[in-house]
Amino acid sequence: MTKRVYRYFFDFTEGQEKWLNEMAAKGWRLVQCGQFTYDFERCAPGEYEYAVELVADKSYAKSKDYKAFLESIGYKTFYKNVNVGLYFGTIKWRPWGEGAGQFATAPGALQKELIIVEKKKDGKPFCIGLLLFCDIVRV
Amino acid sequence: MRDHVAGGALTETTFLVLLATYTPNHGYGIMQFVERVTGGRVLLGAGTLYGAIHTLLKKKWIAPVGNDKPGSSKKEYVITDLGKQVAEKELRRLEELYRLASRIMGGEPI
Repeated sequence: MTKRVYRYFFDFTEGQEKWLNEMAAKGWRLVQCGQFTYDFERCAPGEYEYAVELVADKSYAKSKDYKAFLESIGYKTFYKNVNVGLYFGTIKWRPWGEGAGQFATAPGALQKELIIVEKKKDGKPFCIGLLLFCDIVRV
Repeated sequence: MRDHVAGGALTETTFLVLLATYTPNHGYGIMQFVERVTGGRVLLGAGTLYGAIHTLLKKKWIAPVGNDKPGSSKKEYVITDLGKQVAEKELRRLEELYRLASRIMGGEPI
Protein backbone atom coordinates (compact mmCIF):
# COMPACT_ATOMS: atom_id res chain seq x y z
CA MET A 1 0.00 0.00 0.00
CA THR A 2 1.34 3.40 -0.96
CA LYS A 3 0.13 6.96 -0.65
CA ARG A 4 1.14 10.36 -1.95
CA VAL A 5 1.07 13.40 0.30
CA TYR A 6 1.39 17.01 -0.87
CA ARG A 7 3.22 19.07 1.69
CA TYR A 8 5.55 22.02 1.92
CA PHE A 9 7.59 23.02 4.93
CA PHE A 10 8.80 26.49 5.79
CA ASP A 11 10.42 24.94 8.82
CA PHE A 12 12.31 22.70 6.44
CA THR A 13 14.70 20.91 8.78
CA GLU A 14 13.09 20.43 12.19
CA GLY A 15 9.46 20.63 11.03
CA GLN A 16 9.98 18.25 8.15
CA GLU A 17 12.01 15.85 10.30
CA LYS A 18 9.34 15.81 13.00
CA TRP A 19 6.61 15.13 10.43
CA LEU A 20 8.55 12.28 8.76
CA ASN A 21 9.15 10.69 12.16
CA GLU A 22 5.45 10.98 12.99
CA MET A 23 4.62 9.30 9.68
CA ALA A 24 7.14 6.52 10.44
CA ALA A 25 5.65 6.06 13.90
CA LYS A 26 2.27 5.54 12.21
CA GLY A 27 3.79 2.97 9.85
CA TRP A 28 4.57 5.05 6.76
CA ARG A 29 8.01 4.83 5.20
CA LEU A 30 9.23 7.39 2.68
CA VAL A 31 10.02 5.88 -0.74
CA GLN A 32 10.33 8.96 -2.92
CA CYS A 33 9.99 12.72 -2.72
CA GLY A 34 9.42 15.42 -5.28
CA GLN A 35 9.27 19.22 -4.99
CA PHE A 36 5.98 19.16 -3.08
CA THR A 37 5.23 15.46 -2.85
CA TYR A 38 6.10 12.63 -0.56
CA ASP A 39 5.38 9.01 -1.50
CA PHE A 40 5.03 6.57 1.35
CA GLU A 41 4.65 2.84 1.64
CA ARG A 42 3.48 0.77 4.56
CA CYS A 43 6.04 -0.38 7.13
CA ALA A 44 5.89 -1.55 10.72
CA PRO A 45 5.13 1.41 13.01
CA GLY A 46 8.38 2.73 14.46
CA GLU A 47 10.54 0.61 12.17
CA TYR A 48 12.42 3.61 10.73
CA GLU A 49 13.52 7.03 11.86
CA TYR A 50 14.47 10.15 9.94
CA ALA A 51 16.83 13.10 10.11
CA VAL A 52 16.82 16.09 7.79
CA GLU A 53 20.04 17.99 7.23
CA LEU A 54 20.70 21.18 5.32
CA VAL A 55 23.55 20.58 2.88
CA ALA A 56 23.16 23.70 0.74
CA ASP A 57 25.97 25.36 2.64
CA LYS A 58 28.31 22.73 1.23
CA SER A 59 29.49 22.59 -2.37
CA TYR A 60 27.75 20.01 -4.54
CA ALA A 61 30.85 17.77 -4.60
CA LYS A 62 30.99 17.81 -0.78
CA SER A 63 27.29 17.10 -0.36
CA LYS A 64 27.52 14.17 -2.80
CA ASP A 65 30.51 12.79 -0.91
CA TYR A 66 28.61 13.09 2.39
CA LYS A 67 25.52 11.44 0.88
CA ALA A 68 27.62 8.55 -0.49
CA PHE A 69 29.21 8.13 2.94
CA LEU A 70 25.79 7.91 4.63
CA GLU A 71 24.69 5.34 2.04
CA SER A 72 27.86 3.31 2.73
CA ILE A 73 26.87 3.18 6.42
CA GLY A 74 23.65 1.54 5.29
CA TYR A 75 21.31 4.53 5.55
CA LYS A 76 18.86 5.44 2.82
CA THR A 77 19.12 9.05 1.65
CA PHE A 78 16.99 11.40 -0.43
CA TYR A 79 17.77 14.84 -1.78
CA LYS A 80 15.07 17.40 -1.09
CA ASN A 81 14.56 20.99 -2.16
CA VAL A 82 13.97 24.21 -0.28
CA ASN A 83 11.87 26.63 -2.29
CA VAL A 84 13.48 29.76 -0.96
CA GLY A 85 15.92 31.80 -3.00
CA LEU A 86 16.11 33.82 -6.17
CA TYR A 87 16.40 32.34 -9.61
CA PHE A 88 18.40 33.87 -12.44
CA GLY A 89 17.64 31.58 -15.35
CA THR A 90 19.02 28.26 -14.22
CA ILE A 91 21.06 29.75 -11.40
CA LYS A 92 19.54 29.93 -7.96
CA TRP A 93 20.90 32.25 -5.30
CA ARG A 94 20.53 30.77 -1.86
CA PRO A 95 21.05 33.54 0.69
CA TRP A 96 21.66 31.05 3.49
CA GLY A 97 24.46 29.28 1.62
CA GLU A 98 28.16 29.68 2.32
CA GLY A 99 30.90 30.12 -0.29
CA ALA A 100 30.31 27.95 -3.34
CA GLY A 101 27.03 26.85 -1.80
CA GLN A 102 25.48 30.29 -2.33
CA PHE A 103 24.87 29.63 -5.99
CA ALA A 104 23.24 26.49 -7.31
CA THR A 105 23.22 25.68 -10.99
CA ALA A 106 21.13 23.09 -12.78
CA PRO A 107 21.51 20.17 -13.04
CA GLY A 108 23.90 20.00 -10.11
CA ALA A 109 23.06 21.24 -6.66
CA LEU A 110 19.79 22.90 -7.69
CA GLN A 111 16.82 21.61 -5.67
CA LYS A 112 19.16 19.46 -3.59
CA GLU A 113 19.39 21.67 -0.55
CA LEU A 114 18.45 19.04 1.99
CA ILE A 115 19.29 15.43 2.62
CA ILE A 116 16.62 13.27 4.22
CA VAL A 117 18.28 10.34 5.96
CA GLU A 118 16.46 7.17 6.91
CA LYS A 119 17.77 4.52 9.28
CA LYS A 120 16.32 1.55 11.07
CA LYS A 121 15.23 2.54 14.55
CA ASP A 122 17.73 0.35 16.37
CA GLY A 123 18.53 2.52 19.37
CA LYS A 124 21.87 3.56 17.91
CA PRO A 125 22.60 7.25 17.53
CA PHE A 126 21.98 9.14 14.31
CA CYS A 127 24.37 12.04 14.86
CA ILE A 128 23.30 13.96 11.79
CA GLY A 129 22.98 17.68 11.36
CA LEU A 130 22.28 19.54 14.57
CA LEU A 131 22.89 16.36 16.53
CA LEU A 132 26.39 15.99 15.10
CA PHE A 133 28.06 15.59 18.47
CA CYS A 134 25.56 13.19 20.00
CA ASP A 135 27.69 10.05 20.37
CA ILE A 136 26.45 7.77 23.05
CA VAL A 137 29.18 7.05 25.54
CA ARG A 138 27.79 4.86 28.27
CA VAL A 139 29.43 5.12 31.65
CA MET B 1 35.45 15.51 17.88
CA ARG B 2 35.82 19.24 18.35
CA ASP B 3 38.86 18.96 20.57
CA HIS B 4 41.18 16.34 19.18
CA VAL B 5 43.98 17.33 21.47
CA ALA B 6 42.80 18.85 24.71
CA GLY B 7 45.74 19.40 27.03
CA GLY B 8 47.71 16.78 25.07
CA ALA B 9 44.98 14.16 25.43
CA LEU B 10 43.07 12.66 22.55
CA THR B 11 39.33 12.31 22.83
CA GLU B 12 38.21 8.73 23.18
CA THR B 13 36.49 8.92 19.79
CA THR B 14 39.66 10.11 18.06
CA PHE B 15 41.79 7.43 19.69
CA LEU B 16 39.31 4.69 18.79
CA VAL B 17 39.09 5.84 15.15
CA LEU B 18 42.90 5.80 14.94
CA LEU B 19 42.99 2.28 16.42
CA ALA B 20 40.34 1.16 13.91
CA THR B 21 42.64 2.14 11.02
CA TYR B 22 45.76 0.15 12.02
CA THR B 23 44.46 -2.14 9.29
CA PRO B 24 42.71 -0.42 6.34
CA ASN B 25 39.07 0.15 7.19
CA HIS B 26 36.07 1.89 5.67
CA GLY B 27 33.48 4.07 7.41
CA TYR B 28 31.05 1.33 8.31
CA GLY B 29 33.94 -0.92 9.40
CA ILE B 30 35.19 1.80 11.76
CA MET B 31 31.73 2.15 13.30
CA GLN B 32 31.47 -1.60 13.84
CA PHE B 33 35.03 -1.84 15.20
CA VAL B 34 34.35 0.84 17.82
CA GLU B 35 31.10 -0.82 18.89
CA ARG B 36 32.74 -4.27 19.06
CA VAL B 37 35.94 -3.40 20.95
CA THR B 38 34.09 -1.30 23.52
CA GLY B 39 31.37 -3.89 23.94
CA GLY B 40 28.78 -1.34 22.78
CA ARG B 41 29.81 1.23 25.38
CA VAL B 42 30.84 3.72 22.69
CA LEU B 43 28.58 4.08 19.66
CA LEU B 44 29.67 6.38 16.84
CA GLY B 45 27.04 8.17 14.83
CA ALA B 46 27.49 8.52 11.07
CA GLY B 47 27.67 12.32 11.12
CA THR B 48 30.30 12.36 13.84
CA LEU B 49 32.33 9.69 12.08
CA TYR B 50 32.18 11.58 8.78
CA GLY B 51 33.44 14.71 10.54
CA ALA B 52 36.12 12.74 12.38
CA ILE B 53 37.43 11.07 9.22
CA HIS B 54 37.70 14.41 7.43
CA THR B 55 39.45 16.09 10.34
CA LEU B 56 41.94 13.21 10.67
CA LEU B 57 42.57 13.28 6.90
CA LYS B 58 43.27 17.01 7.13
CA LYS B 59 45.68 16.44 10.01
CA LYS B 60 47.27 13.62 7.94
CA TRP B 61 46.85 11.17 10.84
CA ILE B 62 45.02 8.84 8.47
CA ALA B 63 45.20 8.56 4.67
CA PRO B 64 42.94 7.09 2.01
CA VAL B 65 43.99 3.68 0.68
CA GLY B 66 44.47 3.26 -3.07
CA ASN B 67 42.96 5.69 -5.56
CA ASP B 68 39.26 5.31 -5.00
CA LYS B 69 37.11 7.93 -6.62
CA PRO B 70 35.72 10.53 -4.23
CA GLY B 71 32.26 9.56 -3.10
CA SER B 72 33.03 5.89 -3.58
CA SER B 73 31.18 4.03 -0.89
CA LYS B 74 33.99 1.58 -0.24
CA LYS B 75 36.64 4.20 0.51
CA GLU B 76 39.18 2.81 2.97
CA TYR B 77 41.46 4.65 5.34
CA VAL B 78 44.69 3.68 7.06
CA ILE B 79 46.67 5.29 9.87
CA THR B 80 49.81 7.21 8.80
CA ASP B 81 53.24 7.29 10.49
CA LEU B 82 52.27 10.65 11.98
CA GLY B 83 49.01 9.14 13.24
CA LYS B 84 50.94 6.27 14.83
CA GLN B 85 53.23 8.74 16.62
CA VAL B 86 50.18 10.53 18.02
CA ALA B 87 48.59 7.23 19.09
CA GLU B 88 51.82 6.05 20.76
CA LYS B 89 52.15 9.32 22.64
CA GLU B 90 48.57 8.90 23.83
CA LEU B 91 49.28 5.33 24.94
CA ARG B 92 52.29 6.54 27.00
CA ARG B 93 50.15 9.28 28.55
CA LEU B 94 47.46 6.75 29.48
CA GLU B 95 50.07 4.32 30.92
CA GLU B 96 51.48 7.07 33.10
CA LEU B 97 47.99 7.97 34.29
CA TYR B 98 47.18 4.31 34.89
CA ARG B 99 50.30 3.78 37.01
CA LEU B 100 49.65 6.94 39.00
CA ALA B 101 46.02 6.10 39.64
CA SER B 102 46.86 2.49 40.56
CA ARG B 103 49.43 3.62 43.11
CA ILE B 104 47.21 6.21 44.77
CA MET B 105 44.04 4.13 44.70
CA GLY B 106 45.99 1.11 45.93
CA GLY B 107 46.86 3.13 49.04
CA GLU B 108 50.53 3.57 48.21
CA PRO B 109 52.10 6.79 49.52
CA ILE B 110 53.36 9.11 46.78
